[in-house]
Order: sequence, then structure tokens, then C-alpha cells
Amino acid sequence: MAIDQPGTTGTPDADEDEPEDIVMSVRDARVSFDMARGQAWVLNDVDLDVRRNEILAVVGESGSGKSMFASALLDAVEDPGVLAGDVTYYPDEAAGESQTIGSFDQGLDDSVDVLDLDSDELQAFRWEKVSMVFQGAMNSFNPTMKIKAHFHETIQAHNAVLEERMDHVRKLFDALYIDFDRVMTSYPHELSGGIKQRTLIALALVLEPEVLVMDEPTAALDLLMQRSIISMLRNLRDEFDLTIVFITHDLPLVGGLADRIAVMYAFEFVEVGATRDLMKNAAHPYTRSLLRSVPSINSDVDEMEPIEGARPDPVNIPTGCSFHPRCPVADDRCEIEDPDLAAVEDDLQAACFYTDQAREKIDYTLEDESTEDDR
Amino acid sequence: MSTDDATDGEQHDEEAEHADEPLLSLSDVEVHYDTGTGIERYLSDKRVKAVDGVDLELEENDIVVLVGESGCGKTTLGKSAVGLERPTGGSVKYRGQDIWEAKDHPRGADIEFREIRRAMQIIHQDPANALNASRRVRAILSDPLKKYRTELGPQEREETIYRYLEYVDMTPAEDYADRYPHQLSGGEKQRITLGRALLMNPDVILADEAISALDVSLRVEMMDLILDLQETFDTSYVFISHDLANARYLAKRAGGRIAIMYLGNIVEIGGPDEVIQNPSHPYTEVLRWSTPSMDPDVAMERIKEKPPVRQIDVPDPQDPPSGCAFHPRCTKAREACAEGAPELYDAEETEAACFRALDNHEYWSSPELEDAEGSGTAELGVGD
Repeated sequence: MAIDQPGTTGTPDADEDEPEDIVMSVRDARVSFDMARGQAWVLNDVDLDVRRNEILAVVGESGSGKSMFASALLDAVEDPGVLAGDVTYYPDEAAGESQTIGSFDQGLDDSVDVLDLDSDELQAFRWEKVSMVFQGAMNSFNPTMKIKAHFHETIQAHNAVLEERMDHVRKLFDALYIDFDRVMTSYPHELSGGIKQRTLIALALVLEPEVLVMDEPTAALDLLMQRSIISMLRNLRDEFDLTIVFITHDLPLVGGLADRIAVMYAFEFVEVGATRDLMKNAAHPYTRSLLRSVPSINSDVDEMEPIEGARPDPVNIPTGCSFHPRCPVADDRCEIEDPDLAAVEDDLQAACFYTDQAREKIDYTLEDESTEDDR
Repeated sequence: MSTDDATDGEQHDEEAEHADEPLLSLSDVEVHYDTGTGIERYLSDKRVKAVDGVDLELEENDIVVLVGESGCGKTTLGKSAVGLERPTGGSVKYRGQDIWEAKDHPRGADIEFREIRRAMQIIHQDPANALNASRRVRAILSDPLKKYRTELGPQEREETIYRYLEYVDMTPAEDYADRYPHQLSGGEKQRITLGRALLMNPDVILADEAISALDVSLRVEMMDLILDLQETFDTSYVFISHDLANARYLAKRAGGRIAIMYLGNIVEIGGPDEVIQNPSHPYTEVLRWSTPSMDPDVAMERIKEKPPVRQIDVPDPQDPPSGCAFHPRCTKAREACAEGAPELYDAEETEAACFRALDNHEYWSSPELEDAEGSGTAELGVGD
């Protein structure tokens, strides 16, 4: 559905009746690298819409192309990678006045073609409209500068009003349970990893972007801190009207957080859907196999099974459906034809010809004995 | 030792001699580090107690999974257990022989230090850094054979390498033996390091986060391989993990134990179902709460709950809390917990280092603990 019609293209005024309010849309995005062994595709013609105010989790294993998708959203693919296709941002016309915060200038009800921006525009766009927190980025603070200086520098670079912005930072710090006075006057090395990562999230939000893209933002943190940040993100979204794109390899981590999940395999999306539908009864053989291969705290250990075979080489992606060499329900058709994402249910799409067979043949159970009392 | 090739007679005698001793026995092991550099080290009496008085025994064919957050001392304890880190206090015995005695006083030792070293191997978290990138798999695997199996000729050595490559599911072995590490996937590299460790015919393997660097869909496969080979080779494992779900998988399949560590101590130890389903230590409950549920309905409810701790940040290990090290974060702490440090007691189904395991402890009549002001409670935890 959303995939077939590119969101609210061109006519954002007319989208009152649209079922979905799209904030970013990606069409035919592809990233290639020239390697000695040939051309490597690390993002292979992907289409995806990000809905306004949702938390979208992009889930994939290492080397599936998920980080490349995150970079594509901000036109931040590093050389020598080449990004082609369309990435479009649709501003929220209701929030007209907030668009005066920084220096990024756009016609009020125009959509923004992200890949068309020059480098100054892109610089402004990346903080003011779509912001990003990278993996392990808590180490990107300058060790010789106090935290406060990092905020001031960012605000001034975007010609924003310092006092007004710092008031906003106080609100962000409250939502992230950071002690404003202590942290602002500290050097980065004086702070724990968890506090640094939360501070960095606040820094990414200082210019009130609409979209926050996070690549494995909790990967280097302890379990409890991970869970705590996950809870804070939900509150942040509600309080500051954010859209969050959360990139991770950890499917169980986002079960309670995301509204929708998009699963990547071999540089493309193989399944996209509402979290509950996707986790409870996935349609794509890869998603089902993945759910069956990840032990959880009270799953049946005898039912766990790894996914046979190895992940594909970016230089040599299998023909047809890229999962077919590892797929228990694949047949000749899958070797030749590459399935597109197609609706399986209301809010669930899968790129597979044989979703019924997959559901029949690949069994998995989420833990069902509910985790009784906790205290 | 069920394998055909790897045992030598000498070792059999020693085994018979020490049959009644546990394979590995740690008693009151402490690893304390001085902090600071140069003169600071002498002026300051601050020490980091990475491991602070741990007792642990490992039998033949046993698995213990050490679980804890970063900085809890699980790697230091693991390394002490296999003789890679010298404890500053306490003893580590291999089949009854104190391993550091064997090193310092080789004449009086029943088992040579070199032999102990061979018997205890390690697999690291990152297989890419554990393999020499400029050498082929064949060369990487011949080193331990050249050092410890000097009786083998080149032909036998070659055959042994192929056989071990097959043990770790790397077939055709001839093909893999010719590859360089960069021609292997992460999972394959980790299997080479496992094969290399097994070539020494060890009694104990320390696997330090050995599956954390692998793709999630391959972790079960690697754990299954380790378990299969444990049956083939009768090896015991000390497995280190920060992930309770993986720890449970391993311990459950192997019939082993899970040991939960917090700031240098084992705070709870027992069978996987007992530790996870019916923990007696509040910290184990926190870890379980933090491990996400696969069921989205449960997870969506959970995410709205407050974390079951007073504060989310771990205290500075240079300045650990008095009494029970967990008390400033523990929702069940009372004043008694700030005064005395609990040892491991027999609890309901596990052993736990918590006064609540003792029915008649003064804890029960002790007043509730006031939240220490400014101790980071504002950081999160109890706010909405």
C-alpha cells in the first residue's frame, strides 16, 4: 500500500484524507561501491516510507545494509560509496513557526529532495530537520571541551538564539534524567557511558529536528541502561513530537519500543509491518527463521535453530530472491524472480511468493508463559 | 579423554593421582589493582577490587556461565581461573596443584606449570584479532602442535589439522586450511580459534564473550558446536556473557550453572532455571527485568514500568559502597545492608549473597534505608 503510492508527493495540502502522514520517503535507493572483485551493492533498490511521529525499527544482521539505509536518509553515505534514487522529506506544515529555529530555508509547503541539497544546505538540514545519533558516538565528544561548549558551538553554527535553545536543552535533559548543572560543567571523561549517550541524544535534538535517526544507540551500554534509554525514547517521542528511526541488530530489544519494524536482509527490506503483527506471526521465511534462532529468556531451548548457510556476499548477491539459498520453502521460481514487498495483511508486507508455506513450515514460539511476578 | 589422538600417558597418571580433587578450584580469589600512575600509586590507597574474594569450583565436563555488566569483574575472574591473571590474594588450584606455586617453585610442583598452561585455553570475543592475518589457517593451527605435540611428523600434523577442522565443521578441510583469516566469515574465524584451542586438548576453555561478535542468527549454531564438542572432548567451560538469554541457553543445554557477578563478587549461583525463574538476589531480578521479552505484548507493558532499582548508574568501582555493594541501587535494601557484607548463603533454589536468604538475620528488623541524597537518584530510576 504505502509502497505503491509515494506518500504525499507534491500535494501536502491534500493529505487530510490520506491514511498515513509521511515524513520521509525513500524510493529506489541504491548504494554501490567499486571493489577489486566487482561492483558491490550495499543497498539494493529499497523503498520505504517513514510515517510522521512513529518509531520505526530497522532490524538486520551485520552486513545487511541497515547502517547504509540510515546514512541514505541523511545523504551521508561515505565515499567511495555512491547513493542514487530519491530521498524526500515532507515538512510538517502545522509546525510552521518552528522552522525559523536554524538556518535551513525551504519554501513552506515544499517537499525537500534530500539528494539535491548542496553541502551548506545539507549541513543545516542534518541538524534542523533530520538528526542522527551514531553507534558509539558517545566517544565523539571533544575531550578538551566541556559539555556546555558542545551545545553552544552547535547552536551558534546554526545561527539559532542561544538562550531559547538552552531552555529547550533543559527540557530535553529533564526528559532524559540528566542533571543539567552537573553535566554542562563537566568534561566528557567525567561522565559515564550512559550519561554521555543520553547527552548526545539531547545534543542531536537541540535544534528541534522532526526526525531522529539512531544507529545502534544502545549497543555499547549495559543491559539496564539499554532498557532505560529505550523507555526514555518513547517519552521523548511523545513529548517532543519526534519521529524516530531506530537501527539495530537486536530484534527483541525493539519489541516494546517500535510501532513498526522493517527487516533487512541482503541489502533490501524483506518484511515491513506493525510490530505486534510482525513479531507474532511474521510472513517472510527470513524473519521467521530469525525469530526461531534467537534465544530469549524463557524460550524452549530445544526449539532454537540457527539459520543454515552464510549471509550473501555484496559482490555476488544470489539471483532472484536473495534469501533462496538458505530458505526452506524456496523453489525454482525463487531462483529466478525477485519478489517485491507486497501486502500480506493490513499492516504487514513481505517480499516472498510463499508466505503461507513459510508460516506453515517454519515454526517459532515467542515466550508464552508470561514472566510472572517480578518483584 | 575420549579422543583418539590427543592424550599422552603422562597425563593419565596425573589424573589418577588427583582424581579426588576438583578440576579447578578457586578459593577466596582477589584481584586488586592499584590506580593512578607513578607517585600517585604510592600516595593514594585507592585500589580497584576487580575480583574481591570469590570461591568457585569447576568439575570435569562442567559449564559455568559468568554473567554480569561491564566492569563487574567477570573477565578478570575468568582469566584468574585459567591462570592468565595472577590473583593478588587467594588461590587457584588445578587438580589440587596451586598453579602459581607451580610457576614459582617448579621443583615442588606435582604438575608442571607448562602442563597447566596447556590444559587451560581461552577463546576471545573478537576472532579477527585473535588470528594472525598474514598466516594461512594451516600455519595458525600448526603452532600449538609444534609446541606441544613434538612427536608428530609433518604428515601426521597435517592429518591432525584436517581432523580438527572437521570437528569444527569446516569442510572441505583442505580448502579451509589454505585460506587466510580475511577469507573467512566471522563465524568461521571463531570456529578456527575454537579448533586451535581444542588442538591443545585442554581440560578447561575460557570463552570470553565468544559469541557476542557473531550475527544473532549464528549464535545458536556456535553454542551448539561448543556443546557438541564438549561431549566429544570432555572439556569444561567457563563461559563469559553479558546476555542472560544466551547464558540460559548454554547452561540449560549443558546442565551447567549460571553465576551472576556484581562489582567483583558472585552474588548468585545456581542452575539456569533456578537463577532465572526464581532468583533470590535483587540484582539478578534487575538483570532479568532488563532482558527484553520476545513477546511484544509483554515487552510493551514492560517498557512503561520503572526500572526496579534506586539508581541506574553503577557506582565507581574505585569507591565501592560499604556493606553489600549493591545496596545503593537495591530497592529492598535496609540499613543492615549498608553495614555488613553478605556472603553466599543457601537461598530458596540457588545460592545468593543477600541477607534476605537468612530467615533470622537482623536485616528483617533493620529500618528501611533512606535514599542517600544526591547519590544519583535524580539520574533516573525513581522519577516518572
